[in-house]
Amino acid sequence: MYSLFFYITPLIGFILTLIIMPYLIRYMNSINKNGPDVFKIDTPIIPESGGIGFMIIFIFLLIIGTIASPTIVVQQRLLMTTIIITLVTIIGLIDDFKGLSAKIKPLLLIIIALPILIFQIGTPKPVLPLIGPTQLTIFYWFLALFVIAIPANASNMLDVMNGVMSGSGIMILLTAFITSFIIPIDGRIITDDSIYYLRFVSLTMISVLTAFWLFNRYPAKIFAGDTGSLGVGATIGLVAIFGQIEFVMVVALLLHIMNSFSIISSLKGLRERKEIHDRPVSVKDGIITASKNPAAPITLVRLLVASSSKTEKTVINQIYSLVAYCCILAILSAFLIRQELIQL
Amino acid sequence: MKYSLSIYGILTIIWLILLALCGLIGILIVPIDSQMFTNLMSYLISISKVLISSIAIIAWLLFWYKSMNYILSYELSKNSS
Repeated sequence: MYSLFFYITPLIGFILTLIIMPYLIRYMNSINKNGPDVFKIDTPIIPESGGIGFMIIFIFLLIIGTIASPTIVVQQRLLMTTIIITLVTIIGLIDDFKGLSAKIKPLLLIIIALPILIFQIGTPKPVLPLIGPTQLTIFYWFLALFVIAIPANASNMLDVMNGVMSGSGIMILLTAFITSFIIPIDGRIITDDSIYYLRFVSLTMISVLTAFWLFNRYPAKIFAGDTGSLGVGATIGLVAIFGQIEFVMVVALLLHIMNSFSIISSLKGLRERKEIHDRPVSVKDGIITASKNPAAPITLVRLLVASSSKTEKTVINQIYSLVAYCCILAILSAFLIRQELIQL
Repeated sequence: MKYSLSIYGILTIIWLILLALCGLIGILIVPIDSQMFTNLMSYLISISKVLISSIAIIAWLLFWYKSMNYILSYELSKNSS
């Protein structure tokens, strides 16, 4: 099942992304697709929409992966993934270059998840800790509609500082990859096909995202834009559903969910950036301070700088350690699921 | 660093509650013996199970939101003092 192709693909993805990024930086600057890095003292102008670079390579590798699939089931899942990820990338590009309203974007992400509901590709038996496998049938496919919209928006909302989205995406997908070695394959509930899919997609995204992170980390040479953040989030969602690790991925995404949940609930719904008059933080001489205005949205960054003002670098490191902690909880959850599956 | 620890605390509690919710749903999804009840009774029991699960999930989300609000206001007040 695991041919030489399986091991070479991530390597190709990593090298291609490393090669393409300097060209993309120059191109985005040449067309004036750039914006200020507001957390820096000198507010440098940084090229945006870098996500298009690694997403195109990822889609290309997904197409090759679909053609070279070891089984029909894997092929169906990879084909579905390729189509959905391509559509998400197009939505991200439209958002980056033309702009989409805060309400239309999640709606479009729900619509593009419709093929999952229509063709019902996947296994509607999520395995939960303390319970084991469940049979949700109709309810599962209803939940599947949100499998793109929720992680994609959560990833987008946490793309606030240099390297945060890409770094946390790498950690979460690495957790998914590690989980594939923890959860036992019994052929009835967790199948070889699901595990192959899980390993292939997570490893391929990790490789392209790591190469991108080298340019996106502090101090950033390029921003991912919505193309990148929506694409990474959608990949996490698809890995969760087609790799049959739904619960593990929910736990790994706890910090992302916490950030988006607190923003949406404190703003009483989805709002455009221009509609938010009270900023959650202010920046002066590279020091980030939390807003004391009760009307300002509650964001993770505001929570982190509430006790004392901090530099961008400190906040980034704190977010990294919090995501790493969620990933540890996710791996613990995977061991609890393993216990349930072994007892069957 | 003290403040970060409180976010770690929230995340841990949220995770533990999520596990407890799994346990609760695990108890609730045990199929009822329909021979013991009339059709109407079985239907009401099924509805109650969905209601209990939904209430538990809403309570979990409310706890999450309230705890974040509390920590934010506590830390901001500590900062200003």
